[in-house]
Amino acid sequence: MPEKLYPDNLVRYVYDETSVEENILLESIIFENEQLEESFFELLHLKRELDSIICSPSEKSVSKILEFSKSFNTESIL
Amino acid sequence: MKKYTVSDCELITQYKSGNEKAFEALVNRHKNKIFTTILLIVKDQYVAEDLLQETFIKAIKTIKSGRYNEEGKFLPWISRIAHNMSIDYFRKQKRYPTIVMEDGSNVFNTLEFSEDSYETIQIKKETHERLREFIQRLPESQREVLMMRHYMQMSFQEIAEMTGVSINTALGRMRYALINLRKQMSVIEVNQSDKSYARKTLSR
Repeated sequence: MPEKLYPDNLVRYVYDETSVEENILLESIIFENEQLEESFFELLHLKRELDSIICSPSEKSVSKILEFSKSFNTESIL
Repeated sequence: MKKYTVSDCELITQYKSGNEKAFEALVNRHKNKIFTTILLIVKDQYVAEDLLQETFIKAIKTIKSGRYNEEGKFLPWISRIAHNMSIDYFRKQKRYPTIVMEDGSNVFNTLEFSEDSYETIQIKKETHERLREFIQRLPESQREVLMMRHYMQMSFQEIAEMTGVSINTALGRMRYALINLRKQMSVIEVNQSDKSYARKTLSR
């Protein structure tokens, strides 16, 4: 991990794909630079927004899936 | 990423042994992310419901026949099935249908927001609706990586392997997708702030 922060590393950090060692280094770089800190919080905010648009299927669809599973047995495909 | 006390891998093992409750837990755990992945591609609630069922039916057949071999990575695996089915459907249709509910409202407006003021609810609805539009307007390569990483919970390495690019390219695409979305979102946030200010000024 270089001491300079590359933008892609910030993305990896936000998506929890960095190691503990990388986290320590990244945090020391991010929180000592106002601009990077702002970018970091903007990414976190956007990540939360992306989570907030998650939709649910109808109960009917879920019931059909569960019913299919109960009625399906391997004999039917042999 | 959410941590569960019983892993997907354990649930699948139990399901293979005939425990239908384990499968129900898996469905309830992942149905929303899979459904959202499909909906963002096909943009039609009814089609998305059908494709969700087809996706799980394919998964059930694969697991029960002993052909499932990606233990521990259930969500990326089933999301790939959902993604491929949705893309197939979309290619067959070759169009982007509008999502309309029976009452004429947009499907995404059915999301509920409790304990917020009317104005806050409206702002959230508008923001969510716009965010979905912005995702759909992203260049395909960026949208693909965003959906795979965010909704299908694939790692950047897995995305790189699946799309046949380097991990740096996958990361770069994700970064540009996020930058693009952030730019677009900041414009509507400014507009909403102006609207809110105007409403308050008018109500004085």
